[in-house]
Amino acid sequence: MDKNPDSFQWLILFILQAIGLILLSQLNQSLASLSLFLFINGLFLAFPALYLPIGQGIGLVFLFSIFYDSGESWSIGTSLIPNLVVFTIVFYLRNRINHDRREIIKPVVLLINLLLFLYYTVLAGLRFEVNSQFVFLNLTHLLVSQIILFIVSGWLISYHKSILLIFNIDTEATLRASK
Amino acid sequence: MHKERSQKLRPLILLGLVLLIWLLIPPFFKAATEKFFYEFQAPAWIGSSFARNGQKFWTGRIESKKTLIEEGRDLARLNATLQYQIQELETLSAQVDRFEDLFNLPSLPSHQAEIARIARRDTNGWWQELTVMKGSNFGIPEGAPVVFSGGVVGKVKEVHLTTTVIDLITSPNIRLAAVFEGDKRPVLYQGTISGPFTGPKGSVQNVPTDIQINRDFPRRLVTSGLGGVFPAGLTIGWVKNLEASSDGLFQSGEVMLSDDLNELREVAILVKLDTDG
Repeated sequence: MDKNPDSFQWLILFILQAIGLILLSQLNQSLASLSLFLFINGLFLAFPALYLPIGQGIGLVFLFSIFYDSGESWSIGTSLIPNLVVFTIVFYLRNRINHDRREIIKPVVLLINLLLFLYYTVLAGLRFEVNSQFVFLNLTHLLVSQIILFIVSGWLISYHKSILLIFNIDTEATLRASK
Repeated sequence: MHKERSQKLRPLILLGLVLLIWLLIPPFFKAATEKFFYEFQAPAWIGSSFARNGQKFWTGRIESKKTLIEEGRDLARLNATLQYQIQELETLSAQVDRFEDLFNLPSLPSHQAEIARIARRDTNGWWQELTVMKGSNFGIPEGAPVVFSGGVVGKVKEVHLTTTVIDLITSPNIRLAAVFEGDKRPVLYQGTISGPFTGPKGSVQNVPTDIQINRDFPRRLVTSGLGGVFPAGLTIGWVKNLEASSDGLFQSGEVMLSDDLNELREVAILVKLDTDG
Protein backbone atom coordinates (compact mmCIF):
# COMPACT_ATOMS: atom_id res chain seq x y z
CA MET A 1 0.00 0.00 0.00
CA ASP A 2 1.25 3.46 -0.95
CA LYS A 3 1.88 5.35 2.30
CA ASN A 4 3.04 8.55 0.63
CA PRO A 5 0.72 11.30 1.94
CA ASP A 6 0.69 12.86 -1.55
CA SER A 7 -1.49 9.96 -2.71
CA PHE A 8 -4.25 10.92 -0.27
CA GLN A 9 -4.64 14.55 -1.26
CA TRP A 10 -7.99 13.75 -2.88
CA LEU A 11 -9.34 12.17 0.33
CA ILE A 12 -8.20 15.03 2.58
CA LEU A 13 -9.63 17.59 0.17
CA PHE A 14 -12.88 15.65 -0.23
CA ILE A 15 -13.44 15.64 3.55
CA LEU A 16 -12.60 19.36 3.64
CA GLN A 17 -14.98 20.13 0.77
CA ALA A 18 -17.77 17.99 2.26
CA ILE A 19 -17.50 19.95 5.52
CA GLY A 20 -17.41 23.14 3.46
CA LEU A 21 -20.62 22.21 1.63
CA ILE A 22 -22.43 21.38 4.87
CA LEU A 23 -21.34 24.67 6.46
CA LEU A 24 -22.34 26.53 3.31
CA SER A 25 -25.83 25.00 3.44
CA GLN A 26 -26.16 26.26 7.02
CA LEU A 27 -25.04 29.73 5.98
CA ASN A 28 -27.54 29.66 3.10
CA GLN A 29 -30.26 28.74 5.56
CA SER A 30 -29.56 31.91 7.53
CA LEU A 31 -29.39 33.96 4.31
CA ALA A 32 -32.73 32.48 3.13
CA SER A 33 -34.68 34.89 5.35
CA LEU A 34 -33.18 37.71 3.22
CA SER A 35 -33.86 35.76 -0.02
CA LEU A 36 -30.10 35.52 -0.53
CA PHE A 37 -28.03 32.52 -1.57
CA LEU A 38 -24.31 31.81 -1.82
CA PHE A 39 -22.79 29.50 -4.41
CA ILE A 40 -19.02 28.83 -4.32
CA ASN A 41 -18.59 25.52 -6.16
CA GLY A 42 -16.14 27.26 -8.50
CA LEU A 43 -13.64 27.31 -5.66
CA PHE A 44 -14.12 23.62 -4.89
CA LEU A 45 -13.32 22.79 -8.52
CA ALA A 46 -10.57 25.34 -9.11
CA PHE A 47 -8.28 24.00 -6.39
CA PRO A 48 -8.00 20.40 -7.67
CA ALA A 49 -7.77 21.65 -11.26
CA LEU A 50 -4.90 23.99 -10.40
CA TYR A 51 -2.92 21.97 -7.89
CA LEU A 52 -3.73 18.23 -7.99
CA PRO A 53 -2.36 15.49 -10.29
CA ILE A 54 -4.85 14.44 -12.97
CA GLY A 55 -5.93 11.10 -11.46
CA GLN A 56 -6.51 12.48 -7.99
CA GLY A 57 -8.18 15.59 -9.38
CA ILE A 58 -10.68 13.61 -11.43
CA GLY A 59 -11.35 11.31 -8.46
CA LEU A 60 -11.99 14.27 -6.20
CA VAL A 61 -14.24 16.06 -8.72
CA PHE A 62 -16.19 12.82 -9.25
CA LEU A 63 -16.80 12.37 -5.51
CA PHE A 64 -17.55 16.05 -4.98
CA SER A 65 -20.12 16.08 -7.81
CA ILE A 66 -21.97 13.06 -6.42
CA PHE A 67 -21.86 14.47 -2.89
CA TYR A 68 -23.20 17.83 -4.07
CA ASP A 69 -26.00 16.32 -6.18
CA SER A 70 -27.14 14.03 -3.34
CA GLY A 71 -27.29 16.89 -0.84
CA GLU A 72 -29.16 19.18 -3.21
CA SER A 73 -32.22 18.06 -5.13
CA TRP A 74 -30.41 17.64 -8.46
CA SER A 75 -30.61 14.10 -9.74
CA ILE A 76 -27.36 12.25 -9.30
CA GLY A 77 -24.85 12.94 -12.09
CA THR A 78 -26.26 16.38 -12.97
CA SER A 79 -23.06 18.10 -11.90
CA LEU A 80 -20.67 15.38 -13.02
CA ILE A 81 -20.30 16.26 -16.73
CA PRO A 82 -19.94 20.07 -16.36
CA ASN A 83 -17.61 19.68 -13.36
CA LEU A 84 -15.36 17.20 -15.13
CA VAL A 85 -15.29 19.23 -18.35
CA VAL A 86 -14.43 22.44 -16.49
CA PHE A 87 -11.80 20.56 -14.48
CA THR A 88 -10.14 19.17 -17.64
CA ILE A 89 -10.08 22.57 -19.38
CA VAL A 90 -8.50 24.31 -16.38
CA PHE A 91 -6.11 21.40 -15.95
CA TYR A 92 -4.90 21.88 -19.55
CA LEU A 93 -4.42 25.59 -19.01
CA ARG A 94 -2.81 25.44 -15.59
CA ASN A 95 0.79 25.42 -16.84
CA ARG A 96 0.16 28.85 -18.34
CA ILE A 97 -1.15 30.22 -15.04
CA ASN A 98 1.26 31.80 -12.61
CA HIS A 99 0.23 30.11 -9.36
CA ASP A 100 2.20 32.49 -7.17
CA ARG A 101 -0.02 35.43 -8.05
CA ARG A 102 -3.36 35.54 -6.28
CA GLU A 103 -4.78 38.10 -8.71
CA ILE A 104 -4.44 35.50 -11.49
CA ILE A 105 -5.96 32.62 -9.52
CA LYS A 106 -9.02 34.68 -8.52
CA PRO A 107 -10.36 35.25 -12.06
CA VAL A 108 -10.03 31.49 -12.72
CA VAL A 109 -12.13 30.71 -9.62
CA LEU A 110 -14.67 33.39 -10.51
CA LEU A 111 -14.97 32.25 -14.13
CA ILE A 112 -15.55 28.61 -13.12
CA ASN A 113 -18.12 29.73 -10.56
CA LEU A 114 -19.90 31.86 -13.15
CA LEU A 115 -20.07 29.00 -15.68
CA LEU A 116 -21.41 26.54 -13.13
CA PHE A 117 -23.96 29.03 -11.79
CA LEU A 118 -25.24 29.65 -15.32
CA TYR A 119 -25.46 25.90 -15.94
CA TYR A 120 -27.63 25.29 -12.84
CA THR A 121 -29.73 28.38 -13.58
CA VAL A 122 -30.48 27.13 -17.10
CA LEU A 123 -31.47 23.74 -15.64
CA ALA A 124 -33.74 25.47 -13.10
CA GLY A 125 -35.19 27.63 -15.88
CA LEU A 126 -36.20 24.48 -17.74
CA ARG A 127 -38.19 23.33 -14.70
CA PHE A 128 -39.60 26.68 -13.60
CA GLU A 129 -41.24 29.40 -15.60
CA VAL A 130 -38.57 31.94 -16.60
CA ASN A 131 -39.80 35.44 -15.78
CA SER A 132 -38.22 38.73 -14.75
CA GLN A 133 -38.34 37.79 -11.03
CA PHE A 134 -36.51 34.52 -11.70
CA VAL A 135 -33.79 36.29 -13.72
CA PHE A 136 -33.45 39.13 -11.20
CA LEU A 137 -33.23 36.75 -8.23
CA ASN A 138 -30.58 34.59 -9.90
CA LEU A 139 -28.60 37.64 -11.04
CA THR A 140 -28.59 38.93 -7.46
CA HIS A 141 -27.45 35.56 -6.14
CA LEU A 142 -24.74 35.36 -8.78
CA LEU A 143 -23.51 38.87 -7.97
CA VAL A 144 -23.46 38.20 -4.22
CA SER A 145 -21.64 34.87 -4.75
CA GLN A 146 -19.03 36.41 -7.05
CA ILE A 147 -18.35 39.32 -4.69
CA ILE A 148 -18.00 37.03 -1.67
CA LEU A 149 -15.82 34.63 -3.67
CA PHE A 150 -13.65 37.50 -4.90
CA ILE A 151 -13.07 38.54 -1.30
CA VAL A 152 -12.46 35.10 0.23
CA SER A 153 -11.12 32.91 -2.60
CA GLY A 154 -7.45 33.83 -2.03
CA TRP A 155 -7.77 33.06 1.65
CA LEU A 156 -9.65 29.82 1.01
CA ILE A 157 -7.05 28.61 -1.52
CA SER A 158 -4.33 29.29 1.10
CA TYR A 159 -6.49 27.47 3.66
CA HIS A 160 -6.68 24.39 1.41
CA LYS A 161 -2.87 24.47 1.09
CA SER A 162 -2.39 24.88 4.85
CA ILE A 163 -4.60 21.88 5.56
CA LEU A 164 -2.57 19.79 3.11
CA LEU A 165 0.65 21.06 4.73
CA ILE A 166 -0.55 19.62 8.06
CA PHE A 167 -0.34 16.23 6.32
CA ASN A 168 3.12 17.09 4.94
CA ILE A 169 1.81 17.72 1.45
CA ASP A 170 3.36 20.75 -0.22
CA THR A 171 1.21 21.43 -3.27
CA GLU A 172 3.48 24.22 -4.55
CA ALA A 173 6.58 22.01 -4.42
CA THR A 174 4.77 19.10 -6.11
CA LEU A 175 3.54 21.44 -8.83
CA ARG A 176 7.00 22.92 -9.45
CA ALA A 177 8.47 19.41 -9.64
CA SER A 178 5.85 18.31 -12.18
CA LYS A 179 6.67 21.34 -14.38
CA MET B 1 7.44 12.49 -29.08
CA HIS B 2 4.77 9.77 -28.88
CA LYS B 3 5.08 9.65 -25.10
CA GLU B 4 4.75 13.42 -24.84
CA ARG B 5 1.61 13.34 -26.99
CA SER B 6 -0.01 10.58 -24.97
CA GLN B 7 0.89 12.51 -21.80
CA LYS B 8 -0.91 15.52 -23.24
CA LEU B 9 -3.97 13.48 -24.14
CA ARG B 10 -4.11 11.73 -20.77
CA PRO B 11 -6.59 14.14 -19.14
CA LEU B 12 -8.93 13.84 -22.11
CA ILE B 13 -8.69 10.04 -22.13
CA LEU B 14 -9.36 9.96 -18.38
CA LEU B 15 -12.33 12.31 -18.75
CA GLY B 16 -13.81 10.13 -21.50
CA LEU B 17 -13.21 6.98 -19.47
CA VAL B 18 -14.87 8.35 -16.33
CA LEU B 19 -17.88 9.58 -18.30
CA LEU B 20 -18.17 6.25 -20.11
CA ILE B 21 -18.01 4.32 -16.83
CA TRP B 22 -20.66 6.65 -15.37
CA LEU B 23 -22.97 6.03 -18.32
CA LEU B 24 -22.51 2.27 -18.01
CA ILE B 25 -23.23 2.13 -14.26
CA PRO B 26 -26.71 0.60 -13.73
CA PRO B 27 -29.37 3.11 -12.52
CA PHE B 28 -30.14 1.15 -9.34
CA PHE B 29 -26.48 1.47 -8.30
CA LYS B 30 -26.59 5.24 -8.93
CA ALA B 31 -29.81 5.53 -6.90
CA ALA B 32 -28.24 3.54 -4.04
CA THR B 33 -25.14 5.79 -4.12
CA GLU B 34 -27.32 8.90 -4.03
CA LYS B 35 -29.26 7.52 -1.07
CA PHE B 36 -26.05 6.65 0.75
CA PHE B 37 -24.55 10.10 0.26
CA TYR B 38 -27.83 11.77 1.24
CA GLU B 39 -28.20 9.77 4.46
CA PHE B 40 -24.53 10.48 5.15
CA GLN B 41 -25.19 14.23 5.05
CA ALA B 42 -28.55 14.21 6.86
CA PRO B 43 -27.12 13.87 10.43
CA ALA B 44 -25.04 17.00 9.82
CA TRP B 45 -28.17 19.04 9.00
CA ILE B 46 -30.03 17.56 11.96
CA GLY B 47 -27.03 18.28 14.21
CA SER B 48 -26.84 21.89 13.12
CA SER B 49 -30.57 22.25 13.66
CA PHE B 50 -30.08 21.06 17.26
CA ALA B 51 -27.23 23.55 17.62
CA ARG B 52 -29.55 26.37 16.50
CA ASN B 53 -32.17 25.24 19.03
CA GLY B 54 -29.51 25.28 21.75
CA GLN B 55 -28.50 28.75 20.67
CA LYS B 56 -32.14 29.88 20.93
CA PHE B 57 -32.44 28.30 24.38
CA TRP B 58 -29.37 30.13 25.71
CA THR B 59 -30.48 33.38 24.11
CA GLY B 60 -33.84 32.92 25.88
CA ARG B 61 -32.07 32.44 29.22
CA ILE B 62 -30.59 35.91 29.13
CA GLU B 63 -33.98 37.55 28.52
CA SER B 64 -35.19 39.69 31.42
CA LYS B 65 -37.85 38.31 33.79
CA LYS B 66 -40.19 41.11 32.72
CA THR B 67 -40.06 39.95 29.06
CA LEU B 68 -40.68 36.34 30.09
CA ILE B 69 -43.67 37.32 32.29
CA GLU B 70 -45.14 39.35 29.40
CA GLU B 71 -44.67 36.48 26.96
CA GLY B 72 -46.23 34.05 29.48
CA ARG B 73 -49.27 36.34 29.81
CA ASP B 74 -49.65 36.54 25.99
CA LEU B 75 -49.39 32.76 25.75
CA ALA B 76 -52.05 32.30 28.44
CA ARG B 77 -54.44 34.53 26.45
CA LEU B 78 -53.70 32.59 23.28
CA ASN B 79 -54.28 29.31 25.12
CA ALA B 80 -57.66 30.48 26.39
CA THR B 81 -58.74 31.38 22.83
CA LEU B 82 -57.50 28.06 21.47
CA GLN B 83 -59.28 26.10 24.23
CA TYR B 84 -62.54 27.78 23.23
CA GLN B 85 -61.89 26.98 19.55
CA ILE B 86 -61.19 23.33 20.41
CA GLN B 87 -64.59 23.10 22.13
CA GLU B 88 -66.24 24.63 19.06
CA LEU B 89 -64.42 22.16 16.80
CA GLU B 90 -65.53 19.22 18.94
CA THR B 91 -69.15 20.36 18.70
CA LEU B 92 -68.87 20.80 14.92
CA SER B 93 -67.15 17.45 14.52
CA ALA B 94 -69.96 15.74 16.47
CA GLN B 95 -72.51 17.47 14.22
CA VAL B 96 -70.69 16.27 11.08
CA ASP B 97 -70.68 12.70 12.44
CA ARG B 98 -74.42 12.94 13.15
CA PHE B 99 -75.19 14.20 9.62
CA GLU B 100 -73.01 11.50 8.09
CA ASP B 101 -74.99 8.86 9.98
CA LEU B 102 -78.31 10.50 9.18
CA PHE B 103 -77.72 10.77 5.42
CA ASN B 104 -75.52 7.70 5.10
CA LEU B 105 -72.63 9.81 3.74
CA PRO B 106 -69.05 8.53 3.39
CA SER B 107 -66.73 9.99 6.08
CA LEU B 108 -64.69 13.06 5.23
CA PRO B 109 -60.97 12.29 5.09
CA SER B 110 -59.39 13.02 8.46
CA HIS B 111 -55.74 13.74 9.12
CA GLN B 112 -53.28 13.37 11.91
CA ALA B 113 -50.77 16.22 12.29
CA GLU B 114 -47.15 15.12 12.60
CA ILE B 115 -45.16 18.08 13.93
CA ALA B 116 -41.65 18.27 12.49
CA ARG B 117 -38.77 20.67 13.06
CA ILE B 118 -37.05 22.25 10.07
CA ALA B 119 -33.48 21.10 9.52
CA ARG B 120 -32.70 22.85 6.28
CA ARG B 121 -34.09 25.55 4.04
CA ASP B 122 -33.38 25.81 0.30
CA THR B 123 -35.14 28.90 -0.92
CA ASN B 124 -33.26 30.20 -3.91
CA GLY B 125 -33.73 30.61 -7.64
CA TRP B 126 -33.20 26.89 -8.23
CA TRP B 127 -35.21 25.28 -5.42
CA GLN B 128 -38.01 26.24 -3.05
CA GLU B 129 -37.75 23.47 -0.49
CA LEU B 130 -37.60 22.70 3.21
CA THR B 131 -36.10 19.64 4.85
CA VAL B 132 -37.64 18.51 8.14
CA MET B 133 -36.32 16.15 10.80
CA LYS B 134 -38.87 13.34 10.37
CA GLY B 135 -38.96 10.78 7.60
CA SER B 136 -40.10 7.26 6.89
CA ASN B 137 -39.24 6.46 10.55
CA PHE B 138 -42.42 8.43 11.43
CA GLY B 139 -44.51 7.04 8.58
CA ILE B 140 -44.56 10.24 6.54
CA PRO B 141 -46.10 9.52 3.12
CA GLU B 142 -45.06 11.17 -0.15
CA GLY B 143 -47.44 13.88 -1.39
CA ALA B 144 -48.82 14.67 2.09
CA PRO B 145 -49.91 18.28 2.70
CA VAL B 146 -47.81 20.42 5.06
CA VAL B 147 -49.29 23.29 7.06
CA PHE B 148 -48.47 25.77 9.83
CA SER B 149 -50.53 28.14 11.96
CA GLY B 150 -50.67 30.63 9.08
CA GLY B 151 -51.90 28.17 6.46
CA VAL B 152 -50.36 26.01 3.75
CA VAL B 153 -46.58 25.42 3.72
CA GLY B 154 -46.33 22.97 0.82
CA LYS B 155 -46.37 19.32 -0.11
CA VAL B 156 -44.08 16.40 0.74
CA LYS B 157 -41.78 15.76 -2.21
CA GLU B 158 -39.33 13.10 -1.02
CA VAL B 159 -39.26 10.93 2.09
CA HIS B 160 -35.91 9.68 3.38
CA LEU B 161 -34.99 7.61 6.41
CA THR B 162 -34.91 10.42 8.98
CA THR B 163 -35.74 13.47 6.89
CA THR B 164 -38.44 14.67 4.51
CA VAL B 165 -38.10 17.19 1.68
CA ILE B 166 -41.06 19.55 1.27
CA ASP B 167 -41.85 21.47 -1.91
CA LEU B 168 -42.73 24.97 -0.64
CA ILE B 169 -45.92 26.69 -1.71
CA THR B 170 -43.70 29.30 -3.41
CA SER B 171 -42.35 26.62 -5.76
CA PRO B 172 -43.68 26.92 -9.32
CA ASN B 173 -44.10 23.12 -9.16
CA ILE B 174 -47.02 23.60 -6.76
CA ARG B 175 -50.37 24.10 -8.50
CA LEU B 176 -53.59 23.60 -6.61
CA ALA B 177 -57.28 24.34 -6.80
CA ALA B 178 -58.26 27.19 -4.50
CA VAL B 179 -61.32 29.29 -3.73
CA PHE B 180 -61.79 32.83 -2.49
CA GLU B 181 -63.29 32.95 0.98
CA GLY B 182 -67.07 33.20 0.58
CA ASP B 183 -67.05 31.98 -3.03
CA LYS B 184 -67.44 28.41 -4.20
CA ARG B 185 -65.93 28.65 -7.70
CA PRO B 186 -62.47 27.10 -7.96
CA VAL B 187 -59.49 29.13 -9.18
CA LEU B 188 -55.93 28.02 -9.89
CA TYR B 189 -53.08 28.84 -7.51
CA GLN B 190 -49.44 28.47 -8.57
CA GLY B 191 -46.24 29.32 -6.67
CA THR B 192 -43.88 31.90 -8.14
CA ILE B 193 -40.27 32.80 -7.51
CA SER B 194 -40.15 36.20 -5.87
CA GLY B 195 -37.28 38.65 -6.12
CA PRO B 196 -34.62 39.28 -3.48
CA PHE B 197 -35.52 41.14 -0.26
CA THR B 198 -39.25 40.59 -0.89
CA GLY B 199 -41.84 38.44 0.84
CA PRO B 200 -42.99 35.07 -0.56
CA LYS B 201 -45.54 35.25 -3.36
CA GLY B 202 -47.71 33.13 -5.60
CA SER B 203 -50.15 33.78 -8.41
CA VAL B 204 -53.84 33.10 -8.92
CA GLN B 205 -55.36 32.43 -12.34
CA ASN B 206 -58.75 31.59 -13.88
CA VAL B 207 -60.57 33.97 -11.54
CA PRO B 208 -64.13 34.76 -12.76
CA THR B 209 -64.51 38.38 -13.87
CA ASP B 210 -67.29 39.15 -11.40
CA ILE B 211 -64.97 38.71 -8.42
CA GLN B 212 -63.86 42.18 -7.42
CA ILE B 213 -61.13 42.99 -4.93
CA ASN B 214 -60.50 46.32 -3.28
CA ARG B 215 -56.79 46.97 -2.68
CA ASP B 216 -57.56 48.19 0.87
CA PHE B 217 -59.51 45.02 1.70
CA PRO B 218 -57.51 42.00 0.43
CA ARG B 219 -59.41 38.73 0.04
CA ARG B 220 -58.29 35.47 1.58
CA LEU B 221 -57.50 32.62 -0.79
CA VAL B 222 -58.10 29.19 0.74
CA THR B 223 -57.72 25.58 -0.37
CA SER B 224 -60.78 24.18 -2.10
CA GLY B 225 -60.38 20.56 -1.01
CA LEU B 226 -60.56 19.51 -4.67
CA GLY B 227 -57.78 17.22 -5.77
CA GLY B 228 -57.84 15.38 -2.46
CA VAL B 229 -54.43 16.49 -1.20
CA PHE B 230 -55.17 19.57 0.92
CA PRO B 231 -58.19 19.68 3.23
CA ALA B 232 -60.60 22.51 2.37
CA GLY B 233 -60.40 25.91 4.05
CA LEU B 234 -56.66 26.25 4.72
CA THR B 235 -55.26 29.74 4.14
CA ILE B 236 -52.99 30.03 1.10
CA GLY B 237 -52.55 33.80 1.10
CA TRP B 238 -54.18 37.15 0.42
CA VAL B 239 -54.99 38.72 -2.93
CA LYS B 240 -54.91 42.52 -3.17
CA ASN B 241 -55.43 43.07 -6.85
CA LEU B 242 -56.78 41.29 -9.93
CA GLU B 243 -56.16 42.09 -13.58
CA ALA B 244 -58.04 40.88 -16.63
CA SER B 245 -56.19 38.16 -18.54
CA SER B 246 -55.35 38.69 -22.24
CA ASP B 247 -58.43 36.76 -23.45
CA GLY B 248 -60.70 38.82 -21.18
CA LEU B 249 -62.54 35.72 -19.94
CA PHE B 250 -60.81 35.48 -16.57
CA GLN B 251 -58.68 37.51 -14.17
CA SER B 252 -55.33 36.79 -12.58
CA GLY B 253 -53.35 38.32 -9.73
CA GLU B 254 -50.57 38.09 -7.20
CA VAL B 255 -51.04 36.18 -3.94
CA MET B 256 -49.21 37.57 -0.92
CA LEU B 257 -48.12 34.62 1.22
CA SER B 258 -47.33 34.77 4.92
CA ASP B 259 -43.94 36.37 5.68
CA ASP B 260 -43.55 33.72 8.39
CA LEU B 261 -42.82 31.15 5.66
CA ASN B 262 -39.22 32.41 5.63
CA GLU B 263 -38.91 32.19 9.41
CA LEU B 264 -40.63 28.87 10.13
CA ARG B 265 -39.06 26.55 12.69
CA GLU B 266 -41.74 23.85 12.82
CA VAL B 267 -44.41 22.57 10.45
CA ALA B 268 -47.24 20.04 10.66
CA ILE B 269 -47.38 17.24 8.11
CA LEU B 270 -50.95 16.03 7.66
CA VAL B 271 -51.01 12.26 7.45
CA LYS B 272 -54.32 10.89 6.17
CA LEU B 273 -55.97 8.52 8.63
CA ASP B 274 -57.38 5.27 7.35
CA THR B 275 -61.10 5.83 7.98
CA ASP B 276 -62.02 2.25 7.04
CA GLY B 277 -60.10 0.95 10.04
